[in-house]
Amino acid sequence: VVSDHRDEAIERMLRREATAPAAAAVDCLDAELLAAWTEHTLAGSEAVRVEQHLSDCVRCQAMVAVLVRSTPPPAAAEPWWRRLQVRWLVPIATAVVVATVWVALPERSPETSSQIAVSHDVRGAGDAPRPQPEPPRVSSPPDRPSATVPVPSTPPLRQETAARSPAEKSQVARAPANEALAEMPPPEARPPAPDARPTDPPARQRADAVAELRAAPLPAPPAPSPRAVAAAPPPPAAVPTTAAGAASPAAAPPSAAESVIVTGATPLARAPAANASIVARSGGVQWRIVGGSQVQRSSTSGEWRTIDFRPDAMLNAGYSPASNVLWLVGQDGAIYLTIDGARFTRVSFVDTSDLVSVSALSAEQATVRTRDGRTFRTIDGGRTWTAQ
Amino acid sequence: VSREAFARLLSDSAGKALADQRPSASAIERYLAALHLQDLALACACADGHDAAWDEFVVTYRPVLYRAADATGDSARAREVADSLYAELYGLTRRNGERHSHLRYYHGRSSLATWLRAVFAQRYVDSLRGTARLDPLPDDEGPSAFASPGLHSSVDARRHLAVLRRAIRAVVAALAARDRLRLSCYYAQDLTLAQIGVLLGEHEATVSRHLTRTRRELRQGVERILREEERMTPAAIADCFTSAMADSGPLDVAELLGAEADRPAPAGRKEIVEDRST
Repeated sequence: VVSDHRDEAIERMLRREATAPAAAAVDCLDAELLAAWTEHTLAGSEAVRVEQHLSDCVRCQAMVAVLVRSTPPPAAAEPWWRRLQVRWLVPIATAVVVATVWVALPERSPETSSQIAVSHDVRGAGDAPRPQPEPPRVSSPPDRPSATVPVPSTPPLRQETAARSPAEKSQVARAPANEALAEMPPPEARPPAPDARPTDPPARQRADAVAELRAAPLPAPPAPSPRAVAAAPPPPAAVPTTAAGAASPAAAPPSAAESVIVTGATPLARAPAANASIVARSGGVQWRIVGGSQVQRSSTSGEWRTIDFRPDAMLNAGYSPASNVLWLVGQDGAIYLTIDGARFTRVSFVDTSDLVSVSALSAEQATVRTRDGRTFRTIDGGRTWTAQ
Repeated sequence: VSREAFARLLSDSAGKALADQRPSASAIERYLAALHLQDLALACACADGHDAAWDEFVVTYRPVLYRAADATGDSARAREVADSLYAELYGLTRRNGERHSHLRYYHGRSSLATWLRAVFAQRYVDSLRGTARLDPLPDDEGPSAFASPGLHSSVDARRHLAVLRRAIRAVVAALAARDRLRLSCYYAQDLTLAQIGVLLGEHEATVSRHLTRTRRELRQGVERILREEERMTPAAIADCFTSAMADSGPLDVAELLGAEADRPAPAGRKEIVEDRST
C-alpha cells in the first residue's frame, strides 16, 4: 500500500513536470530523420542518437506524439487457424466429401457428380455457395483449386439431395442461408437486371460524362496568405488525365449483362470473403482479382485475359455493376474504376483506411466500406464521398 | 524525372545522410537500396511541377495530410497548418525567380506519407508553442494567481516538494534513454501503450512491463536519495510523498527550469512566497 501511494505520488509529479514549458530546442530532429526513426529504418548508431535526443527534447516528443496519433493503425493480421481454415481445410474437406460421395454411391449417375462437383468448386475458392439459376459452369479457372469431377449436365435437385450423405445434406440445406449471409448490396444498389445493359444510350452518356469530368485539369493549390495559410487548397478528386478515357465501343469486349468478382487466394484478397462471393446472375463477362495486384477478365467464351493495369495498392474487392464498369478497392483507400472494361483510373478518396468491400449501382454510384466498418458513398463517380 | 536529375537526387540524399561518415561502397549501396525510390521520384516530379505527378499527389497524399490534421482533435488550427504546408509543398515561394517546393527536402529515407505526417507534426507543434508564448499572463486578481493551499500551506510541505522534485529529476536523468522516452510518451504526451509500442517497436505488453519496472526503479531511487543523500527520516520521507499527493497547485516554472535564483517569480506568486519567508 505504501509503495502504491508513493508510486502515485511520483506519477503525479511526472505529469506535472510534463506540463512545464521546455527550454528552447537546440539541434532538433528534422522531419526526415523523425519519419525514418518512426518507421524503424535508421541504422543502429543513428537510431540511438535520435532516441537519445528524443528522450530529452520535449518539442520532438510532442512532434512524435502528433505523428504517431496520425498514423493509421496497422491492419490486423489474420489468425493462422483462419488461414488454415480458409486456405486448406475447406478444399481438403470438400475433396473428402466428394470422394466419400463418389465411393458411397454405387448407382450414381454422371449428372449427380456434376452438380456436387461444381457446388464444391465454388466453395473451394472461399465463396459462399449460392444456388445457380442457370446450369453451372463446368470450366474452372486455371488457378482455382480443382476438386471437381467434370461431367456435362445437371441432375434434378431432388435426386441429388436424396443421394447425399447426411453431412452433405446439411450443406445443401444451408446453402440458401449462406446465400443470405453473403454480403449483397442493398436492393437499390444491386446490379441492374440483365436487360438494363450499359450499352443503352443513357448509360453511355453517363459514362462519357464521367470520363469528361475525370479529364478536367487539376487546379493549382492556393496562394498562401500573409500568414502563409489562409487560402484553401485546390479541390480534390483530380484524377490523372493521362489515365482517363471515355468508353470506347471499339475497345469494349463482348457485351454481357452481369459480372462476377472472384478474388485470388492471397490473404488480402480473401479478407472480404463476403464480397468475393458475388456470383454472376447470367453468363458473360466475369472479373477476378489475382494475387491482389492483377485483374483478369473473362469473355463469353470462358477465356481469361489479364488486364493491362498495375494498381499501386493491394486490391481487396471489386464490384461490377455492368459489363464494362468495374469498381476495385484496396489498401490505403485505393479505389479504381473502369468504365470501358479496359482502362482503370484511380478515384480520389477521403480516407486512407483499407477498403474491404464495394458495391455499385453504376459508374457514378458506389458504396465502399473501410476495414473498421465505416461506409462512404459517392453519386458522382468518386468526385465526392459522403460518410454514411 | 530525368535520369540525371534522379541521380543527383540520390547523391544529395546519400551525401546528407552519410555526411559525417566515410562510408564504404557497400554502405552507400545499402543506403540507396533502403530508400523509398518511387516516393522519391514522385516528390521530385512534383517539385519540378509535373502535372501528372501532382495529380497522383493530390489523389494519394493530400488525404494523408488532412487525416493527420483531423487526428489532432484541433481541426481548425490543424487544417490551417495543413493548408499552409500544402501550399509550401506546391512551391509558391519563389527563390531567384523559380518555384521552390518543400518536397525538395524529402530524401526518401521514409515513406512519403510518413514524411508528410512528420512535417505536419513539426509545423503543428511549433504553431502550438508559438501560440502558447502569446497567451496572456494570468490576471493578478484571478484565482490562478494564487498558489493552491496544498503547496504553500506550510514551509515543510514546500520544502518536501522541492526535495522530492530534485530527487525525481536525478533518478530520471540516470535512466536509460529509452526508459526516459517511454516515461515521457506515457506521462507527458499521454500516448497509449499501443501507440508507444508502435513508436518503439515493442509489444503493448512489453511497454507496460517496462513502464512498471521503470516506475519501481524510480520510486526506489527516490527513496534512496531521500534517505541517504538528504538524510531524511522515514517519517519525513513519508511526508514528502504525502505533500506530493496533496499538492494540486500550479507549478513554479522558474523552479522547474532550474533557475530559481536567476529568474523572478511571477508577480502573483511572488507576494505569497515573500509572505511565507517572513
